[in-house]
Amino acid sequence: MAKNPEYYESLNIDYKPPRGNWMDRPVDIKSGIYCYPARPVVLENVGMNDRSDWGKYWVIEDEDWELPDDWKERFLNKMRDMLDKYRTFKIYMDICVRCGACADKCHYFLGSGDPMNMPVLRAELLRSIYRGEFTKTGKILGRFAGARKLTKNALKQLWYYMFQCSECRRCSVFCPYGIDTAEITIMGREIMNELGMNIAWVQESVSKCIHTGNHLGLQPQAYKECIDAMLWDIEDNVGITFEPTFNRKGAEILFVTPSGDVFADPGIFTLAGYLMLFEHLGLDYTWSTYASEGGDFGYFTANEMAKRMNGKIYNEAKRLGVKWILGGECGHMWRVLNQYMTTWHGPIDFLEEPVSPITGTKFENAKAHKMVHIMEFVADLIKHNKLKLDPSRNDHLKVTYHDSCNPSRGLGLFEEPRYVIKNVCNHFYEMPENTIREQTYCCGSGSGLNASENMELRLRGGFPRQNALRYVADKYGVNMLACICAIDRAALPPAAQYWNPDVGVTGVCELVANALIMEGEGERTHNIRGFEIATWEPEP
Amino acid sequence: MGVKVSLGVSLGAVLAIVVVALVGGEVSALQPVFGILVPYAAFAIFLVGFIYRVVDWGRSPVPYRIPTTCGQQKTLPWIKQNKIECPSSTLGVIGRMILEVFAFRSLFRHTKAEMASGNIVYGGSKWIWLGALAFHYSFLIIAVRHLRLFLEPVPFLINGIDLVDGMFQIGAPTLYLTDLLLIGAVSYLLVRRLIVPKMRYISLANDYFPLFLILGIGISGVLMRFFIRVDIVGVKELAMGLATLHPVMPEGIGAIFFVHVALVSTLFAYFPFSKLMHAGGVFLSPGRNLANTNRAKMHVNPWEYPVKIHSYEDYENEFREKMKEAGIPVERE
Amino acid sequence: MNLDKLLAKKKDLIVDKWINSIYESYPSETVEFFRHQRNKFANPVGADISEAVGPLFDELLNGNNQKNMFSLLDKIVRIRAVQDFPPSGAVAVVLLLKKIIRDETKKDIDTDGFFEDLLELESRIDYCILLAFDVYMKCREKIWEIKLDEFKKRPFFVEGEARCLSYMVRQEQGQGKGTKDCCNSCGLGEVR
Repeated sequence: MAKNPEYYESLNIDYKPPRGNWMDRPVDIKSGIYCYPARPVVLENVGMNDRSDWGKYWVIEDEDWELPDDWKERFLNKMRDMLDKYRTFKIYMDICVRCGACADKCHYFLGSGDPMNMPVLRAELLRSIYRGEFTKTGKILGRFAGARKLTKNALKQLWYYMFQCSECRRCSVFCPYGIDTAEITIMGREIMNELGMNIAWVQESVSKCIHTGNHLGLQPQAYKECIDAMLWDIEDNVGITFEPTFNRKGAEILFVTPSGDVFADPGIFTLAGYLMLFEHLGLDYTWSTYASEGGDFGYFTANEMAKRMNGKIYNEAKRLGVKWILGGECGHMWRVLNQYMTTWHGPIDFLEEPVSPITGTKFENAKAHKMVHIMEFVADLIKHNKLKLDPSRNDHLKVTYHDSCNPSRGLGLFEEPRYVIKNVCNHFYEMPENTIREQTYCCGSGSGLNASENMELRLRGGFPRQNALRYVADKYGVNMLACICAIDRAALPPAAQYWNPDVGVTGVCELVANALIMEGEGERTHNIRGFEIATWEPEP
Repeated sequence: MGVKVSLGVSLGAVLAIVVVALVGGEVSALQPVFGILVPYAAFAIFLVGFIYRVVDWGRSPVPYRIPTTCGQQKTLPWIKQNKIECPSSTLGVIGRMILEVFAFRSLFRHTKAEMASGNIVYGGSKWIWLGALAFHYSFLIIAVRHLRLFLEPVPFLINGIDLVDGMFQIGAPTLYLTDLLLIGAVSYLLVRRLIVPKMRYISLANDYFPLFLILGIGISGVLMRFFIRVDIVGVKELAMGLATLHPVMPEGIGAIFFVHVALVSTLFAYFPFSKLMHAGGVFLSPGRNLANTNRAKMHVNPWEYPVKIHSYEDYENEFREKMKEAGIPVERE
Repeated sequence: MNLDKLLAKKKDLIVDKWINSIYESYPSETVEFFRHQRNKFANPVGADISEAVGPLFDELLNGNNQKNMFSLLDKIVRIRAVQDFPPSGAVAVVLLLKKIIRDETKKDIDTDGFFEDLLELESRIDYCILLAFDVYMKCREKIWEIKLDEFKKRPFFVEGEARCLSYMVRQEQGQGKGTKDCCNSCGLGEVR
């Protein structure tokens, strides 16, 4: 028999990516990692650059990505424009020393082992182009200054890896200069947006949202039907009948939440939580079918689009004449609300400084913005004993809490949800310290990456979170993962199905609703998911 | 370009400077060039370049207030805010920046000992924090110590630093702790880039070059002090001349001095064009130097412009019939 | 010395080598990180590999309990099923052990009965590879199940290709040329 002594060695080595400088590495695009590109003309109806002006289809597997003839010019013009507009962008392009502190902090790097997923390299993809095209030293010294020219391969690399960043900002916590790779990804995506290089999952949601007011494309009657359906469930499981109002003028409070909660399981149970809570309080509030989206996928395309989508919330508050706005559980929604919204549309003088009608608490931290986070609102209620709660109804649950990235690192919301959970559940366990609070790991699907076709990316990116979850599941028997983000509620269940099939996912308001003792309620043998409490075993 | 080329080019460039300075230092006609002209030019480039860069950054707008929040926000009165990691006042921001600039707070994260599979292990970042701290502080102290050459009489403070730095009184002249620390720390930073594969992967020629340069500065300084002695009186005379803008070129200082000066001058001149500008940038980084107060106080974007928002009117026009059918109130029947 | 004793004696060394050779199937820039970051929450992949390999080796030598093996293999292969490995690369981790054992026992090969033992052990390793393949397939099927689930949960009003399952499958298989034309079966016709 012929001998092949190299057999085992070759087995091993073949799977390694090619060696050499990353700047020269041809991008190896794998299916399961990338999201489908947006089709041309998806955004024609909203008048945003999406290839409709040169009308070319775009297939990732093809060598040619059908860019416009002047793609380079468009790219560089846009980049120049953004460098002039954002100090963040300019400074982050200039001051990185490549110390490597961020390198192993990214969940996508940890899950994939792909060195290009180190935040520093993700940023260097763009930084090298910046040096090569915009700085004198880069132009003169070239590679010696870490500079390169904008080429098609560089552009492909950029696209591939900028859509492997969920803008979670974990790396920025560790950066000695506060460089925020999420900001760089945001800039990179906006620049590529000029070339129509966005993904279908994001652009289609944007396109729908502009007209119907929400990412799912729920028309007003459908939006109301979804909520009505939930009301029937509440009637069945809680024994209470009530009707919330829609688009009602003169209400005191406008309530806005991501549309994912209206449609998708388990988000709808969080929605049931809102409904029951507000009914219990007798809150003078209204839903809106026009401002029916708290989230903002426009934020994953371009600043202007984010603003256009977000603008409906204040528009609607003004039209309805409410006093202030209450916001539901969502992640990037709160990043946008906290860090952009007042700057975009302010000053907001047509609303009043938020005051809880139940406790009289003034939310001074929101006095310019006029929007209160549901967790702040509920924590305040509990502190003032305004809710009758029976936490033992959640006794079959051993709960841990996933700090959603954006409320953590873009708002600083840590204690409120914990306070709420501890008051509505008797069994609460924290995941390890370096996986929660400001060091929390992303669900793996943030920033518009929760499409189905990139499932492998989502599952490996979700692994660090799931690994910490598995630890508390093994150690304390944790069977429920609470979170305050609609994307989490859509993305953590699939990840848990893969990594932790015995752990369910819930919004915090669902836990509140289950513990809430409502006036006139029937016997609460079933939880709001319709399962018998005594025998229920959560699953993702 | 591979690691070897990056390394070779960086090291080669530093060596070339050394050689040129050695030759120049030997030729007395060239001494004023290397002793007076080059330092003046380098310092001028540094000053102008540094200020230009910082002003350039400072003039670019900060459209949105987007600090990374690393602690509890200011919220309900009974929830304890983390005033440093999530500041809501200028004082808090200053505290955060002081920790960041003087103690490298962010690098320090992740450094406490942890139990893993029964053994205490340390997060890998601890060394980089220590190394960076040792490097920056020893560099600072050395720079301050050098002021004694440019000032007469030597201020009390500088003498004090000098004394503490040389407190172990090893050797004659006394060995400075900071000299050792600097060379040690720079070597660590360099070796780290070379032996940790992921560091090697992300490192560029312009990461190696300043390290070699500073290493060269340190080594030439130590050589001058202990092994290849130079005429210290002449050095002081030259330094005083430079400082008082009446430069004179004393005879017979020794060529090694010119190597030292040339390397320092290169560092100064290189500074504004390189990543070393992080020294100025860190103060301006919006990720850290802004308070998390957007909801309490409106932040103004100088270039904000109105955008087309899909109006309620258009919305109702599109769905009016359906809304009426579903019992949702409409503005116009 | 018989094989069992020899392997028991060299266990630590072999397990170490095995772990390292698994690490080395990753990009070399990452290997060092997997090896040295000891905090299991900061380095979940490295931790899972290093925790599973020792017991798996024990199981191969002594227990040969299929259920245990399966769950240990799961810890290593599950992550590889979503990383950039081809199927062969995902399950090859077990195969690596063969070479390590052959290298380590080379000079004892002429001992009495040794060769038979080695063959027996290699058969077990072969069986273990088959199990790894089962694990891999289970993971991959799960991934598709999750994709399908998500797909079914998509709102009925989602338009165009995003609604067409066969389009998605063809894209996955690298046959995404049909961007302009959808399949006929879903009745969507041409996708704009």
